[in-house]
Amino acid sequence: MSRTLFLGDSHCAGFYENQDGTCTIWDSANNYAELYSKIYNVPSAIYAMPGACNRHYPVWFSWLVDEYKTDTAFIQSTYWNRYLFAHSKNLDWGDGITKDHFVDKSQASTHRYSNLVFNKGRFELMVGQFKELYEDFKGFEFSFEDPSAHYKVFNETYKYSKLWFEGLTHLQLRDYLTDLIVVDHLAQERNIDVYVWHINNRVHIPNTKDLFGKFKRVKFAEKSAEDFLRKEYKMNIENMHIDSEHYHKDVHNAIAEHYIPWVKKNSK
Amino acid sequence: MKHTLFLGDSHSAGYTIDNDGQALHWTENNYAEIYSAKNNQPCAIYAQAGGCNRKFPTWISCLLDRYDVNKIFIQSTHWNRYLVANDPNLDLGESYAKDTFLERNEDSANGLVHRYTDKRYAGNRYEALLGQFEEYWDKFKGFKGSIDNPYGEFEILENQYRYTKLWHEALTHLQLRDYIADMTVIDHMVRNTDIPVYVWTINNRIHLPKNTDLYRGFDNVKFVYTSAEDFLFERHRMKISKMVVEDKEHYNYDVHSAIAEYYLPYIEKNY
Repeated sequence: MSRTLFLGDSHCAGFYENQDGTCTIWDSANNYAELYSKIYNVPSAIYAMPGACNRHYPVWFSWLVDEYKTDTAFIQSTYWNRYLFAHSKNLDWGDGITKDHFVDKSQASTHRYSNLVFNKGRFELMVGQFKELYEDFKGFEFSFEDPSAHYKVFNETYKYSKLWFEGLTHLQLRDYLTDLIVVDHLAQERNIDVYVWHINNRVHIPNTKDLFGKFKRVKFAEKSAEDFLRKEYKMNIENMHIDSEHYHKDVHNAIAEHYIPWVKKNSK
Repeated sequence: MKHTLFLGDSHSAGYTIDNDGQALHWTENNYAEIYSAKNNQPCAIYAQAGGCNRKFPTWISCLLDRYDVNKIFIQSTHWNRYLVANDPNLDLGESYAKDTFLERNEDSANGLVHRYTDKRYAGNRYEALLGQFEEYWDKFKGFKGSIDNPYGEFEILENQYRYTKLWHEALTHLQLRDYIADMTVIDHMVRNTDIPVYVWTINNRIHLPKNTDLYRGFDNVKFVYTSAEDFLFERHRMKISKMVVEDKEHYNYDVHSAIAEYYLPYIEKNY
């Protein structure tokens, strides 16, 4: 049986914060992917995690397409300036690691997957560069007379150098496109259509997409769910939250019923 | 006539040190140019001192736009080399093009070799390479994040970049993922062509991963697990670690010549 694949962050994992501060995850009513599956009677498999980003997606996609026969995948492009960090007790640069090392299969019976944080001497986590971690740019010292001057980048805090010398530069664009080219590479040989979309206008989608040539199977939605639902259905999803960040079930339902079919038809 | 492409670091850029300790580029100590002359093969080299895999997809993309290509040699270089950049436009790369940093240098004297490198500045945008040398090493301090203390993870953001970059990105599977992704992008760009891409190492201090099938196998990219150092020692009794110039890091002409004459043809024949 062929299944439609969904990759994304908390919005794709039925996640929200309750009024008492606890969190709910995998709530089918607050999950556009599960609602799409139900409304259109399409078997699906979901790989999602709160805070997930493009740096996760090549290995998730690779694992899913080994696991499931599919011809369609929806990738929810998420906020930039989300990074992965990790640690390996063995300091082995990943030798011997397999693509399923961090797959949490505890809900495999419902075709829902997420990431383990710790497994067999390794961990992998996501950090988001929130505003409380922000420091103003202090300038950059470089000199042809003192070629080691730029090594001062090393001595600044990680949050500072990561933001100013990686995040807010073309290097993040290159990583983003690299990750999606890997997905394209895998999708091409298996004839999978991959639709990349974004839930609201705070998520950046680059206009520059051809650094490594044109995509063959990956297509991008030109309009966010936020813009689409406002224009076509007069829904202002930024006022329809269940907590400070996550959307109400009516938003998920509208994404499932209206936006995802539109994405499938109109992405380029 | 089709061109052969070479990508690499200082070893591919004819880097050496003269008697006064001055650094020189595009000298005769360049296996790629020697290979070109021996085989009368037009070549294009894209190389930079400190070059690494994070540069290579962009470089290949630039060269494939410019040349009809018959084969590609990628000199895989030391891990724990990073790129840093800055862009006062803060446009997340929107005004960036793949050849923003490309700089064409003077062709070889015989005209057979076109030489490219990266400049560090393009307008007010820059991109530079950092190598994590031993003087930037700090001992691992442990990790305080846990399911019960999810904010513990944010402490690593407050540590020095050199510390967190080393212990929480580089010496982990994340560097492997980046490496394999970079090579996959290259494989993707030459997919459905007959262009072989040989990924090789000059000495045994360079890590070449064994589990290259993290996403899938490769079609055109071929990984060569016998380094030039091992090959030349086993087949030609050359101990290249002793055949270096003043800086003790870069190899003399005889080593470059042997790589061009023996090692690269061996790769082509056996991989």
